[in-house]
Amino acid sequence: MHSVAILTISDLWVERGESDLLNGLSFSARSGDVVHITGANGAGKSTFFKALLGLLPILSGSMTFNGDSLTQQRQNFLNNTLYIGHSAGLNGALTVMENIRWYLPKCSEKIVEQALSELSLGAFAETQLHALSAGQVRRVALVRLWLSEQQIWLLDEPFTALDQGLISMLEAKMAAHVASGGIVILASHLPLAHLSYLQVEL
Amino acid sequence: MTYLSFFKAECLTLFRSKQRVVNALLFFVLVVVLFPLGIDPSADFLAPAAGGIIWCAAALSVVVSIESLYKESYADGTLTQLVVSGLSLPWLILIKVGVYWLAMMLPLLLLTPVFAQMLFLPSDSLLVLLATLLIGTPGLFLIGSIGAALTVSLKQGAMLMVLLILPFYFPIIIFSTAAIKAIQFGLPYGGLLALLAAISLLALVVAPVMTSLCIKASVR
Amino acid sequence: MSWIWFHKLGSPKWFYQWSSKWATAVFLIGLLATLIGVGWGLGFAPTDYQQGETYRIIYLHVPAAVLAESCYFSLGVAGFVYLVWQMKMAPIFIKSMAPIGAAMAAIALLSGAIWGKPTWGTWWVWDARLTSVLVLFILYMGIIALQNTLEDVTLANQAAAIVSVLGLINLPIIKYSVNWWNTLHQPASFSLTKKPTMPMDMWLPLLIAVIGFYCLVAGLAMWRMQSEILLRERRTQWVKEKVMNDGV
Ligand SMILES: Nc1ncnc2c1ncn2[C@@H]1O[C@H](COP(=O)(O)OP(=O)(O)OP(=O)(O)O)[C@@H](O)[C@H]1O
Ligand SMILES: [Mg+2]
Repeated sequence: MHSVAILTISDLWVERGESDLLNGLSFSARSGDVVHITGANGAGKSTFFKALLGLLPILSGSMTFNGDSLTQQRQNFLNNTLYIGHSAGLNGALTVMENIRWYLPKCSEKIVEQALSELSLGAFAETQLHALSAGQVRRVALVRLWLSEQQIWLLDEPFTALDQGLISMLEAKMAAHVASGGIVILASHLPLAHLSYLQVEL
Repeated sequence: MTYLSFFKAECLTLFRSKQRVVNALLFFVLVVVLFPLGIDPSADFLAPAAGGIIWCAAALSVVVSIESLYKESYADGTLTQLVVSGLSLPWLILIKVGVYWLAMMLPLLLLTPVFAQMLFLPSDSLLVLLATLLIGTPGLFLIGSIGAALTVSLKQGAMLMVLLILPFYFPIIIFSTAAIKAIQFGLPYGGLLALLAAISLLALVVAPVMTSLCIKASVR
Repeated sequence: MSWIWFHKLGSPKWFYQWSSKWATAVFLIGLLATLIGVGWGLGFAPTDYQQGETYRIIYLHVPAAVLAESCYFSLGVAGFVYLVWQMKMAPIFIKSMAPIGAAMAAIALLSGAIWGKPTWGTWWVWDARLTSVLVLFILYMGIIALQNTLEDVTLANQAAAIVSVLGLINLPIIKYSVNWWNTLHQPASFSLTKKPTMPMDMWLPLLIAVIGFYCLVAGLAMWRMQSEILLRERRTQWVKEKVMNDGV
């Protein structure tokens, strides 16, 4: 099973305002792959994620997941995907714990608490999100990765606002995820120090 | 994310920002008060107009307050997460609108008898008024949700939203006030209530889909 | 039955070329028919035995009111086509048509008021049909405002299509509900399906005027759509070539 491509992107173009982006992006990811998308600001990294998730229509090209074309059948893909974009996607009115309960209602109390303390959020479990610092909010978003069951992680600049210690921790987490058969696609301006990865330049 | 956990999160969020609901109710009260103050406080004018006054106030407070239904989630990225969650967006929208409807309509239904009394509405009309509110307001909220989604990406979308949505409220307001008039003249009003129910049902089918189309076009 | 025409209609380039052949002709036919219809109606049709000469404003009022409704109907259909098939021409059509429809509704309102003054003694009565036209006018203005406010083109397309479809569903309900306090107005004086209650020589010029208005609006819409197409397709090869060859 290891060599079968799960996600295949070929010759992808997306129209955004005045310009056509992605220049026929093509790659394929098998389970165990880390795909690192790089490119200058405005090159189209976020645009790629949005096209993949169906938030933007594509101009031409194809995207397949387990052999199904994403433009026709995206449900499976979405069920197996965890996306964290530029904004953390958390509800400011809720506490840290309530946000996690919203995304992961089935996780046991103990596992959640362990993840929180690993990310040094233990003391903030009952704090409302808008009382946290920017980096702490990013950490809360990462709790979803720590506890995720999804196979595919789509991370748009996940290192933003994180301190050095957490950056290495996140890399280790990604390594563990792909080691257990997952796929990570991330866009970032930082080189990955502790991982082997497939680099795609936009 | 599951539908249940989303429902719980919505209830909590709304509970935390209860001032929003309170503001909408205060707005409702103020609009009602405008009529005796601005036109005529006598029972001769108010008694026949009471149903219409309460309905206009309700429609205005709904359209004004529902404008911000998706604003916060649009800004913090949770709306995007809903779209890519793999759950059905129309159902999530229905849950969101339903929670908001409950939160706003329960107190409003409790307030209505008080205002009906202050506006000299005859007591047999009160029941019909409450029935029209119960049956008709889901339509207001559902249609309003479409407008809120249309203008979610605009910083100053409130006026546009009112301009777009209020005309679609006309039939609901007309049928409701006609039902209240009908009982005041001793005419049958059951057909009008059925019409109201039909409009709300139509909105129930159409609005979540339309809203989700707008939201999908807005989060990108 | 072949669907080729449907796909062709979806192509801005094809529509541009097709409509450049027809727009002027349709507009001129419309102008001619309108002049004949309105001229005949105003100058030669018999005087109404109840309303005297003032009834003659129906030769303006009725076509405008009919067109205001037809235009909205066409917006709704276009919105539906866009939502289902994402056809590129549909939002172009909506954007071009909405102001024309609004103008028709405005003409119907103004002429209705002018007609009302001698007939009912007031400029405005809250009767069912005038009120429906007023609502229609507001709906048009809403669509126009929406398109002018939303900067993202895709979003503006989607939003305008949704409001149009919503209007299409809602317009019958609005009209029906507005009939609830139908007061002073006379029954509709013009209908294509029912036998006319007016004498033939009053009715015929009205028919010609209505047809004329339809053609006028079609011609105007095609012109507006052509410039909208050039604007939206300015990055394509065929528009660049066209501008190079013919100027703007
Ligand atoms: N909402 C929008 N509407 C129109 N054009 C947009 C929009 N967002 C981005 N663009 C355009 O699309 C291009 C790609 O944007 P995108 O956000 O994908 O860049 P990026 O590679 O993620 O950049 P960054 O490193 O800054 O995150 C940009 O050049 C921008 O001009
Ligand atoms: Mg980006």
